[in-house]
Amino acid sequence: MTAVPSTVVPPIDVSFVGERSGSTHTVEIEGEAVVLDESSDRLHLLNHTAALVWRCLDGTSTIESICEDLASELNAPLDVVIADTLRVAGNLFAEGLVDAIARSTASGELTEPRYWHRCDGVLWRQSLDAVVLLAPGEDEPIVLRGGGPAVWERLESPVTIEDLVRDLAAAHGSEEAQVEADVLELLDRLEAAGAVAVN
Amino acid sequence: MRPDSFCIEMLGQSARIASKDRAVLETLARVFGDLRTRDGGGTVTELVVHAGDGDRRFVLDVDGQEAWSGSELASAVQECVMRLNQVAVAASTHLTLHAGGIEAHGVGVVFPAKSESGKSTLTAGLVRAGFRYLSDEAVPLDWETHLAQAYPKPISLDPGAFPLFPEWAPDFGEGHDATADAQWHKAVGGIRPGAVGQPCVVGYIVFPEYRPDAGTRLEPISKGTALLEMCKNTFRFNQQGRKALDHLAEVVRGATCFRLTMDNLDEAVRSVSDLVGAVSTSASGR
Repeated sequence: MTAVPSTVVPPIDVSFVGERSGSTHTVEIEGEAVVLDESSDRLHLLNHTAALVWRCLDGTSTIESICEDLASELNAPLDVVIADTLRVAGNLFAEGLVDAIARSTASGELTEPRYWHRCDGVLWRQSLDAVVLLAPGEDEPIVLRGGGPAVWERLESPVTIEDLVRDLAAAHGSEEAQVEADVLELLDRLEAAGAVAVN
Repeated sequence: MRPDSFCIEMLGQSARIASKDRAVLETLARVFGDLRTRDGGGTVTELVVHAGDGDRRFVLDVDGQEAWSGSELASAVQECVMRLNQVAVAASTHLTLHAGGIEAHGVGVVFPAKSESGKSTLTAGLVRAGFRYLSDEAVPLDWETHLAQAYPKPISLDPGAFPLFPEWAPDFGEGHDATADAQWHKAVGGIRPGAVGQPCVVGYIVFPEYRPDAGTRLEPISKGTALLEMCKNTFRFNQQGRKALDHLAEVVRGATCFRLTMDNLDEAVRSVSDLVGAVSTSASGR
């Protein structure tokens, strides 16, 4: 049986809104930046690109809007700017320098990101076409078949329902609305059993 | 002042060194010559070197507690230098770089580096070439002015550097030999008068790295890289946090920054001299 890892990093996409952590102190010097993270007593050197992104993570702008501004300012292709910015922001987030503030909805409204993740202590095993799992304190195992194993696999890292649905629909060539209904039903069942949770 | 002791000041910390053995006291007085001061107040660390028994020919007490014993005077001197330096750096109220440093024409050059990087040897070579000495181990920076200060502890040479400075071989007097594994300690006042530098602006930051057979070359580095390395080579940086980072950034902004890879002392001295502007040969006293 496999124990669920307790610390994993949520992914970042263009709807991500991040803010420089309050435990950081930054000195900019000739386009680079040295960041002191007082929570870990670690120093980080940011090159010109990373320093530029770092400066933009103000807790109100999405990655998408940051990239649009940068692409315009730098006269650079938007897709290249997005790729670089996602990579930099992902690294900064993984280093604990950036706090996740929100994600934008389709209407442009900012919402708190809700990440689904596996609960600590869940025991599970994957067979050829199913996943069998046992939540802590439960006597009855849960068997996931059909699209269930793919959902469980995706929950290895915290993931939003939007990302989960989009990825599964794309992988199976299905309608997102139908996938969303199935996934929500499954997540409700797993949450009730104590196998997954949402922050 | 008692006849069997003398006082020194290191980074603002007072210490009294005492021994009833005349040869020991004279040796220590020579080694710590640049730091000697009048018997002052303030916190005083007491070092006493006295005779032991058997192989414990010399016993070193620090503040009344036995801290070391051994059979060689050279090793006893090394212990005194090392322990007093540790006390001074730990209690320093300055922002203190783990660095060598020299001064010429009112401009300072600091050599931040971890141990065994060759900063003492490089600093010694530059002092011998006529530059004024700030330190071979710890360069204090004034919190208000950002000026580098002199901390003229004796220059400590590792055995690997002995052939480069044969004229600095210590003389411990009759019955005491230099040992192959104990450092040499040279007071710069014993090299020439006026060899200790004045408070100065840090004009150059050079990160030395001794690498055998790697050649000697000076390469510019970005100020961000320099600032990061400065932080890593600052004593008690984490205790001082963002205040130290801001302070070091001000120093770096005013300096030009390089990495010096070196495998030859003469070439390294020449590289730094070319960078800073050679000092007059008459000042070298050689």
